[in-house]
Amino acid sequence: MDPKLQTFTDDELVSAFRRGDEQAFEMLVLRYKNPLYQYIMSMTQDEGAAADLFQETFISFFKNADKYEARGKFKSWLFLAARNRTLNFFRDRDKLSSLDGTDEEDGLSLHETLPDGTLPPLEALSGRETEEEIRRAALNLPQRQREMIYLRQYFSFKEIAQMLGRPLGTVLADCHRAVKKMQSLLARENAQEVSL
Amino acid sequence: MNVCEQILLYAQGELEGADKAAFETHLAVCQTCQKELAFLKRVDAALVPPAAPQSAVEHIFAKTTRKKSFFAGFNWKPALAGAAMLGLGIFIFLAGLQPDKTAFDAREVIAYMSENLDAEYLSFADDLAALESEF
Repeated sequence: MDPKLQTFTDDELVSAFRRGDEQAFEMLVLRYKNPLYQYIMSMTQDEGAAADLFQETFISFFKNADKYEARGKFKSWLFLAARNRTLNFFRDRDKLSSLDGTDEEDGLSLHETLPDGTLPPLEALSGRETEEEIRRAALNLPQRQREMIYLRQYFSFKEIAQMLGRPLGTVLADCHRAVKKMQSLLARENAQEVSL
Repeated sequence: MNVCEQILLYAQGELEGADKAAFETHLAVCQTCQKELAFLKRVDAALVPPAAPQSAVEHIFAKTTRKKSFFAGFNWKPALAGAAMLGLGIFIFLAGLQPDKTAFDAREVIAYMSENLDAEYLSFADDLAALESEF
């Protein structure tokens, strides 16, 4: 692959691809394969479905690249395409409600205290939670909050708000809830370890 | 927005100018925000994307940029030579099954030709005689 392609912006790569340079397409795949796969995987939590949706998203872009309007938002466009595919996947499995739900389904209060009822979650964290424990807590979040935590890894809050068509305040509130919920889950896990 | 509530924007690098400076002043004295920020950094470190499965990436390329046509990679030369040999073999086989209608006994041929020549000659001689008598 031409190393010069690595210096191209997303829109330059899309333009080159439209002119027939297929290596530009491959560069876009290589550039976004890991975050896109992680995002889809975080939503589906199903390796097989995630791999299918991941492949379909890029293959669909290959066939419909002319529909993309180059405005410097390729990453958002790609993630939104993946999100729509994932929503369809959930719709087919009657799980749409879980993605757009209010996230109160697990009954865990955002301000839940520890079992002993004394400390708020952030205070109860030891600060020694492993990355694996943090990843597990993220994956145990309700769908909408989980999506927010992962999107935050790749986009600014303003971009997330634009992408999802939600007010910035709503996006921030969702993310704040997600962080608090993670802290609750980790604190609960810590408390269980201590009591054992 | 309460100052503490700006922690997410700050952690994400989305506070600028006076807002950023004001939050940093607050951060220096707010232990809750300091812990919150430390927690967010640990979350970011834990959620670094793992590599996508190579098989999935290869599948994308196989279906797009490296898609092979049905006949791609097909070696024509041996296939054509084989087809020609097969055709020849079939021709020889079928020819062997049919009686050779072109083969005549030489004597029959000579007799046939002689007979017809005689008839034609006589016919010609008659025509010539008729012509001569006419002129």
